[in-house]
Amino acid sequence: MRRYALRRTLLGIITVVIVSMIIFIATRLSGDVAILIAPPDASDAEIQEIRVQLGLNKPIPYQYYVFVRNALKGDFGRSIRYNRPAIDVLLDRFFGTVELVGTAFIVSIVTGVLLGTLSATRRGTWLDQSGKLFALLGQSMPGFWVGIMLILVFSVNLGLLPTSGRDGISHLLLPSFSMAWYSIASIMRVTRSSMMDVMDSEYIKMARSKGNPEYIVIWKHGLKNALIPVIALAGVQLANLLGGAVIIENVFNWPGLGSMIVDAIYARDYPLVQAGVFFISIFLIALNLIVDLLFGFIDPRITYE
Amino acid sequence: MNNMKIITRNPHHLFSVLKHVPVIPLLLLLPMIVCGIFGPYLYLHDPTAMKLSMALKPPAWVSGGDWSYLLGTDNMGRDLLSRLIEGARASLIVAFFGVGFAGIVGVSIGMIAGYFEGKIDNIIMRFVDAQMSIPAILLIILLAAVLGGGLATIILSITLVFWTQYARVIRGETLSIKQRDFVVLAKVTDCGTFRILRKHIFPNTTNTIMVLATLQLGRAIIIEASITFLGMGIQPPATAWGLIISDGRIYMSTAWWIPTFAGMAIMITVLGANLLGDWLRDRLDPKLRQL
Amino acid sequence: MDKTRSTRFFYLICIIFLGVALFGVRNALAQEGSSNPLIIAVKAEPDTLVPTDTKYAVTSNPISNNIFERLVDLSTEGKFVPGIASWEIMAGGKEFLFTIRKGVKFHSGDPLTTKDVEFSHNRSWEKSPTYKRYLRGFDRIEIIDDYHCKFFFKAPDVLFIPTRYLQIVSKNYFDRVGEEEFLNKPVGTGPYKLAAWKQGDYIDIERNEEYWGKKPQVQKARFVFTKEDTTRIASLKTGEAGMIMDTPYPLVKDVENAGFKTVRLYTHPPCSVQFHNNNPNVPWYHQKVRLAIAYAIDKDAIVNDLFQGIPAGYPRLAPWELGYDPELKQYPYDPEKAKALLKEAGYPRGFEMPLYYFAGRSYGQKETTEAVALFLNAVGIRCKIQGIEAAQMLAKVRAWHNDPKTEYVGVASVPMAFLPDPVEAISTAYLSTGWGTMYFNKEHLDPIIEEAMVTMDDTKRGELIKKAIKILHEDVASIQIWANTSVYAMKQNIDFTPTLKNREALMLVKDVIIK
Repeated sequence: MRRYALRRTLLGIITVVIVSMIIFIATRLSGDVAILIAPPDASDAEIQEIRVQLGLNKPIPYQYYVFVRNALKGDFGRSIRYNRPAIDVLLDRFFGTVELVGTAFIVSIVTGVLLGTLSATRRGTWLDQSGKLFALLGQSMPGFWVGIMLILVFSVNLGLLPTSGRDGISHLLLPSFSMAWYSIASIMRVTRSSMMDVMDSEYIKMARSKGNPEYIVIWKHGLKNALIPVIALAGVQLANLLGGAVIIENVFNWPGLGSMIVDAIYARDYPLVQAGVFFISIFLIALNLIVDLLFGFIDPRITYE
Repeated sequence: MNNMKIITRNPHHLFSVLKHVPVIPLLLLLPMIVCGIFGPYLYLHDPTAMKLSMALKPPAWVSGGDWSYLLGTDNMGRDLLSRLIEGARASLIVAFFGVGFAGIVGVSIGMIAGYFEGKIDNIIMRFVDAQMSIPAILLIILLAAVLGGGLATIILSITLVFWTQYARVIRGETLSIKQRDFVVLAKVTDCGTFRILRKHIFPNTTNTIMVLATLQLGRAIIIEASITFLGMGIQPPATAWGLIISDGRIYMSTAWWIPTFAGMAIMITVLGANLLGDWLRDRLDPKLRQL
Repeated sequence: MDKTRSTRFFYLICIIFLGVALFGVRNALAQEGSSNPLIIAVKAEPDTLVPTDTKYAVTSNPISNNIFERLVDLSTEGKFVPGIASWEIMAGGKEFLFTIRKGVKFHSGDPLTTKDVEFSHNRSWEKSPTYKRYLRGFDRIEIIDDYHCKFFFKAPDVLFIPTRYLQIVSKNYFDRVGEEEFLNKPVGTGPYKLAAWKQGDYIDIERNEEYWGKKPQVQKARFVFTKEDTTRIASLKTGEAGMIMDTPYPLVKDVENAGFKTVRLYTHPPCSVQFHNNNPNVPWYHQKVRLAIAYAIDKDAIVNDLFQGIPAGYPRLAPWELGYDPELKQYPYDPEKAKALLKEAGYPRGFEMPLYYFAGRSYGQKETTEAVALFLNAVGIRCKIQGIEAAQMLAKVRAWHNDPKTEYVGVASVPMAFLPDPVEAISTAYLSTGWGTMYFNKEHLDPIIEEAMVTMDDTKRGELIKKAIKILHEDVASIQIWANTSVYAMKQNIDFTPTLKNREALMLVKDVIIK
């Protein structure tokens, strides 16, 4: 077990290194920030001067070395656009994304599990059918479209919820639902099939024979066991949601990492792009590692190759 | 349940399953496929014929509408229906080639990783891990910033982002298939590696590939729309659904028909692809349900 | 029986969700009453508010000009007026003597002196490559005393006053707090001071009670950054925002119909078809072909039908601008004449032509490009539209600039109308040594533009501008399709007067009155 944990951690670190290389190379190939911020009639010498100022005149491998050296000390360079340490800009936005993605995650899990369980326990009823349709619809529309529609209906027409910004629960509802809707389908599917397996097991039969009412059997005994594969999916779901945040934060004017990274890509703000994407990736890699290791403890069926 | 019987009896025969035709998903997918292939014969108007004086005409049944423009016109006075038909083609191309190339790359790499294991496998899987830990949409915008927007870029970036899923799943399949008797036998009889992969392993992964590809079709269309929304997608004069919906979103409250019909086109098609994918998964490869 | 129970559970969950939702609504309503700054939704977040340091003046100045002031002030009607300083032009435009207003204080309490002017100039010179560009004839600055200083130029500079490029930051404050705080807590002399800046979210400003000038009516304002056009409009409609900037043209009527007031400001830059004409091997090297293109595009239809008549359709300059020529008319839409001209030029069956534009998230250029391409296709010029994202396009333009093999036609913002002084437009866009220049007419045009650049007398300069623009027009150096109009939309009880003749569309809260 310890060897397994060590090995997984090591692999995680290698993945982090590869991610940093991919991001680093992609940002450097994406265009020259010096040309973007220099006045259009700047001479080649002036452009070169800007490159020197930003440390972009050195060969890419050397720049990468500098990046790694500083990143290990927690320094991700200065944002070119904001002229502040990239890590500061990032931390300002980080909690916005955590709040949004976290809420969306909870919404999608709760709804997905609810619909999945209902669908598994009452196969073929209208509840099952409409639940399925609802979940699949979410997967079939572009997120920005859903967001704009929701704003139109709930904010402009009904006047119930605010359109944009980050300021309490009411501001959180529309964006988090727009994001969550996409993930509901897969959570529902996993819950449904694992619930179906669980409900056929001896354990449930025993719970029933003890005279427990059916809803206790389903929601307590059944769900407890059916949830394991759902949790195993958490990493993938969070990656999807973080991707969705890139779009949704733009629609709802939400101050988060996603909209920050998109802006930074447009502005060719290399340090900020690197820091942002890197941060998200490390988060996901760490999360997957934790899930893997936890399952090593929880589920004895997993073997450690 | 009926399905369950089919699975237990005949888990790996594509054609025996197709006797039970999935009517609804196919009906939903039909418009896109027909429009994508026969588009040019279906136009009522040239989709690029602009008449600015005819801009923003509502659909025929709304007052002010015109029966020759069934779904109304867009901001440049082009027939919306004809544009949607034309857009089906680009969306079909993006989805089909993006997913197709991703499939070719991913399956080959996945089989190699699974078959050889060891170092090659390790290296490949680290790249897969790395790529999967960057949200797809971010990676695609980054790639678009490197390559410049446009149809080819989108296809390429979808390939570069989607292949990992194939690689991961097919690697797993290969790992288990190669333990089976017929592969072991083939190895003993000194069959070439390439031949084993092609003749013995690949045919046994086709079900999985089918399921994956169908499910990814829908995702590709959504991604195309999202990238165009972020400003790096398909550029005119090409027309894709994603472009119509993202350019048309500004008309949501004044000329609702543009974003609404474009959105419905996407929704219907992706819903069809997802339903078909679900259906195939239930019948061909139920263990894939985590996707 | 059991089924009804689990259904009940389902309903319970639904009710909880609904409860949370309602709680949220109540929250939102409660907030509305508690404090009410004027909320203004703008399109983009500034990179910094310190004007000497900004690299993106277009997004920074509209907000930062509430906090900082320029050496030369500007009235809303576009008149250059004394503000924190008055000036005198000497030595035929080579020397500018500034007299600082006494008693002006920065928000930090530091008094304004010429030391601040010198410091601001030096810092801009060092930090902003653009500033250096605009003051290219600058020679030196001389501090006479605390309230008098003099700028020396090598040649007369007609643009120094109108471009108002120098904005004043405090030297004492910088010396006291250092670089980081100077950037993070900007301090100016303006009618408002920065109250809070939540990155990615909003900027709060509040009235400077010790302001030297007229006290503005609005006490507090909040700028929120709403990139997405549809959301910005929605936030106005729901009442979350009192005012919005950059209403997209197709939605102006919609906003007005919903009962909101709009104010329009003619503002830089216009949208034109631009040619690279240094390559003798391309069809558009010939004036006749360019003329044919001008005739083939229905500019009125683009302005009136595509953009619903919102942007201005002036052929070059607006009537109130220096050097405006009432004789100068837009080439009318005449596809037959265009075809005839193409035939005359030797292209009876048309030709293939690239048509570039800056792809991105701003509204207008893509739509114009599409329309232009469709008009040109109709006369046989087959356009290959290429939308290229700004960073890559700028790199291309640099590479193309002096390359005689370049094949470029594009829809771009070529400077012309609505700049502080038209000399700036013609000298940056059409002087063959200038930038972004795709048009080369060394013998005829350059001498006129160079003369205009040093002619301080308005009437004489006006004549020169007129002459230069006439050559540009007859030679079809570019085809201006529409001139940008920035549309502010607001609640009915808000009055706002925008400032004419500033390079960027400003959002000065001092000019807002709430009834």
